Amino acid sequence: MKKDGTNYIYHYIYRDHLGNNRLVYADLDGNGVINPATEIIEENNYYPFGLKHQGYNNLPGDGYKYKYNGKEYEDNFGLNIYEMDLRQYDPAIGRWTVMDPITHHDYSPYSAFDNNPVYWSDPSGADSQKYITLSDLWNKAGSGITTYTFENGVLTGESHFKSLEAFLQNFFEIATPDTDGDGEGDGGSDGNGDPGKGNQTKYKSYGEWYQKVLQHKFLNNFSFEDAIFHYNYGKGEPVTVNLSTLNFDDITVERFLKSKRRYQDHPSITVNFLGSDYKGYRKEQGLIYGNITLVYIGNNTIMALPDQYNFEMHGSKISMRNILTAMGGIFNGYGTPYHIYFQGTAKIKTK
Amino acid sequence: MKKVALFILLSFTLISCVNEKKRHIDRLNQLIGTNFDYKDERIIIEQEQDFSSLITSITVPLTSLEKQQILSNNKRLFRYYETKIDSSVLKGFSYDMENERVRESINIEKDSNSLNYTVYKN
Repeated sequence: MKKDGTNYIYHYIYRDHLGNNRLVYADLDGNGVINPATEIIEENNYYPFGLKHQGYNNLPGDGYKYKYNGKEYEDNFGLNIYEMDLRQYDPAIGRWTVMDPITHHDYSPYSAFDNNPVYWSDPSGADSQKYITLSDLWNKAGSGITTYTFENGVLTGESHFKSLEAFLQNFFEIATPDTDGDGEGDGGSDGNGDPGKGNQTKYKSYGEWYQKVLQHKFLNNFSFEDAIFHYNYGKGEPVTVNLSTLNFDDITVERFLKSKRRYQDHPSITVNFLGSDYKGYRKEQGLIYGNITLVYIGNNTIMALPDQYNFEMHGSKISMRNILTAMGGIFNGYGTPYHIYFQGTAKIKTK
Repeated sequence: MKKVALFILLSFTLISCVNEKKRHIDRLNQLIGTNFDYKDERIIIEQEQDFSSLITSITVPLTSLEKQQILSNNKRLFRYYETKIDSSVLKGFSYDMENERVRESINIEKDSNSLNYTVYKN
């Protein structure tokens, strides 16, 4: 809001899917209509890593410095950096000026937005986040993506298919053998379900469906049914799950500080959601993850090492592990093991 | 019949646990040139396992002399660390190895006389 004489004028900001400040406009003449020729105050276009385009749209702006990722651009003393909450970001080189407070072992501690700045934003400077929600991708009629919902192993919502198999066969090549030797499975869109109507997108493979839809769903809501489904059809594609979506209600800092185990010089413990840390209300968590190794990084914050969803026998000897594994395999059917990576951190209690 | 099956199952489990302990202690001895005996009751073994992974944690109490000997004989392997956690600082010596399926970590804290050997197996 700006003061114009005795009046206050609202300035409106149009932000994109990453929270970037793209357009600022105001109803300067108070006629209730925005005139694009005179009432657009500022327009910002960015290179992917946040450097602002120069040489066109030279509008005066209103001095509001919150731009890329909705964060303050510091141009005093020629610094030209963004002041995110915990770190400073230099859009000219697409790198942070200091290390990541939460190290992700797959990336350099200076790399930004997990090297994917059109999907992730990072206004905190500590962890990438996305603004695209599952509902945007999953069930948006008319968007050309899909008009179906698939939850807990049951197909619901607008559907033209009679069964899950028909749905799957129409969306990807469902684990069918390559009988004609063309290197591709022989399932696919000629399944026995009714043909799709309208303009739904058909994914060529589970991998493509997974990349475009499932991974986004799994990130924040990875159910036991999802875990088995992905084991059966996922062909080993790794899954990334947001660590903060897991329940660590009674895991305390005290427990880490008593532990003599270290991971990269930080205290670590293994929680067994099926055994010693079993709690009825998180049975599903136990069935998916079993045990997870957690690392305490200070300030009531934990991170987790990658887990594996696997029912492969290890050697031929009879051990407790192989007995458990065999039981798991019987219940879950044939599948391919996959890694579960945990994104971000979670908070725990002190005591 | 069920009882017989259960007995056999438990026997196999017990045997495999004993073997596990011996195997891990042998490996530890091989890594840092020690001579620990898996039958030594002071050595504590804890295991967490699920369908996919097995995490074994072995704690060995040491005398001051043993601690000194291990660290001086394995100077090149152990790395000194100081980690600031909240208001305290953790100090110790660690030795980590990692490959695709197994990660091993040995930790000896500066101010305590015990060694922790952890094996993460996926």
